[in-house]
Amino acid sequence: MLENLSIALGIFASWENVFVLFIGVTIGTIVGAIPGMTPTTGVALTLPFTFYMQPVTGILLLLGVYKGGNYGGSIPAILISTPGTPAAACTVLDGYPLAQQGKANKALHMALYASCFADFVSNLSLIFFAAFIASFALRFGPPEFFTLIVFSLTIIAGVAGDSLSKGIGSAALGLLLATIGLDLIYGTERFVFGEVELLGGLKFIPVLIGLFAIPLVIDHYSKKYVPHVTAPVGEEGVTWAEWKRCFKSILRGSLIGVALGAIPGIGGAPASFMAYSEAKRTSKNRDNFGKGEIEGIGAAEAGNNGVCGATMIPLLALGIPGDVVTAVILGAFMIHGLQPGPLLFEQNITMIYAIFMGIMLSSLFLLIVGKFGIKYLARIADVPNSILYPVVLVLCVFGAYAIGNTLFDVLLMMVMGVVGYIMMKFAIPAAPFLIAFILGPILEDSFRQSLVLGDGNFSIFVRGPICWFFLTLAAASLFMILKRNLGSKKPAVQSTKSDE
Amino acid sequence: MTFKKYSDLLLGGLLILGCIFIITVLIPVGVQDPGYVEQAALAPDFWIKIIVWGLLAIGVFILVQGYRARKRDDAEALEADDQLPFPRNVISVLLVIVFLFIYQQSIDSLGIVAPSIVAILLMTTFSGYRNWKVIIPVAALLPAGLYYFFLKVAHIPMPLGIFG
Repeated sequence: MLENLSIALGIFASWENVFVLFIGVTIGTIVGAIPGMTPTTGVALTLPFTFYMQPVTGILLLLGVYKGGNYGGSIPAILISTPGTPAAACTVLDGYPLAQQGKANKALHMALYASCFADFVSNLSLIFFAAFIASFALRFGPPEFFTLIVFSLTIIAGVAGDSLSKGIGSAALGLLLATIGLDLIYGTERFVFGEVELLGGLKFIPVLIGLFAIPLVIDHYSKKYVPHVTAPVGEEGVTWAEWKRCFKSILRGSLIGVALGAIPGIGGAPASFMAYSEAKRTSKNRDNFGKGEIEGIGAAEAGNNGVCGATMIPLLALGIPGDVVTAVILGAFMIHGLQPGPLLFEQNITMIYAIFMGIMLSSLFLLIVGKFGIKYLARIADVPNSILYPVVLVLCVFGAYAIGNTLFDVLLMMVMGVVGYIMMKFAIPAAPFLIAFILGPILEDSFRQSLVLGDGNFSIFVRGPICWFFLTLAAASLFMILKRNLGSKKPAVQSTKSDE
Repeated sequence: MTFKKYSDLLLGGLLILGCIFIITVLIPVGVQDPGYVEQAALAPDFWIKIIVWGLLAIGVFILVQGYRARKRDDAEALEADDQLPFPRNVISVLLVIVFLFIYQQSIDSLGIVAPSIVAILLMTTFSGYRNWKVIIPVAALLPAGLYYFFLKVAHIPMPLGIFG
């Protein structure tokens, strides 16, 4: 153990890693602070820059962008009532009213402290639980992995959008696209049509950038220019008494974030709303919630950032990404020839420890970047989209070309961009598509390996308690999502009014 | 008629037609038969067929859902108020999509830097932004900076086309 830790320290403790992590947190915070840009877009655009890096360095850069982006989303939420990320939508409820009272600085600082604290708690949970779950997952065979992925995809498809059927449809399209290339068992061609570039299947990065960045660029040109008014930041900060008063809600929010983040597909937005509603329910100042209550900001941001480390638990322990950003990080592992999952803990434990060290440091960097950059970051929300989106497009083109030095990848990115835009217009969530696209080959492989093991008998998929456990979870979550969907459709008009 | 009101009907229809096309044309033509297959479930097209039949069922479900939703109150089907008026929004989007493919095609002959400069200039001005003190430095420095980053730092060659 100690020997592994010292080797891991050797891997992590380089100026390059520390610098890259700091840059990642800074880039992420800036990206998150730009309305319309999400941590997913930030991570997608940063990914091509990691090709030449060592695996740990590249992954730390992406993690830095992820964590910075999650916090950065609170800045425009507070200043211009436009959440930089979906997860920061809850921060608007109290952040913007506080900014209108001339206390934006107080709101921004509370968001920062709550984010850093929750991030730290989330990192600790990752370190404590990932190895334990990974050691348990060593017992999994192909049928167990198949049922686990089915369960994960069910949840991701169910909670990613407003419609369960569109979520499942999106996942099915992703699985279908993942079948392009050579057959896993027989080596015969599937949907290749003589195109050499398709023999190895569609590359993950052009698909990712195409789905998550290009649709934003296209959509920008169908919209009117709407100027926004940025609230002045002010001077008043968070007092010790205020921090103490909010601490219980922040801690509770962090734990809610951890619990929800560890379940594949849930993400930051539900966690922040649940943390906020729990804080509102238990607070002495509940009447002030929605009117500029600092405790509401702390709870929402804690819930939102509490998921960051926890989403890495299923990724590192099981090889299953918890959300789109961790799916991108899974892609980054694969680019470097590594497959996250229980075997990674056996074969590359020093690398895992090195990543843990970086993750812990990222919370501190988040505090530093946020604390010293608040006044400058507040101005980022003013960057006009008219200049931002052409810049994003050029970054996409360079990134897509850099993968394989071929224009085919740029073309693939553009095509996926148009597909992503059409999906956006039909309200089809892109997250299940991408995660299914990444997990597709693993899912198919475990499906066919299971059938080989079971001599073609489908009863292999219910061979033991682990399979039953995941299948029951999948069925139960499907039932609950369906119930929620049907329940929310009936009083559509009323529910919009009673959102508060 | 608003797009949002009929979008599920359209989506369901497209999914059903797409799935029928995949089952009847793409799978027979695009999935090679290995000749001998030990078990039917291990055949290269078995997994694909499961996905496509599932997708077809979802398409039918969305179509039915769309048919029922069509009868709901029109107030629910209002377009977002931040959109440009029709048909300007559609024309703008189509122009941008066409431009994206011209941009991609031009990289082969003109390299990656020059078309990127033109892309930034055209796309910023297309959306009505006219602050040349910002546009020109960004258009000139960003592609050049990215080119040198990938070439010198990441050691990934980037095309320069006729300028190389």
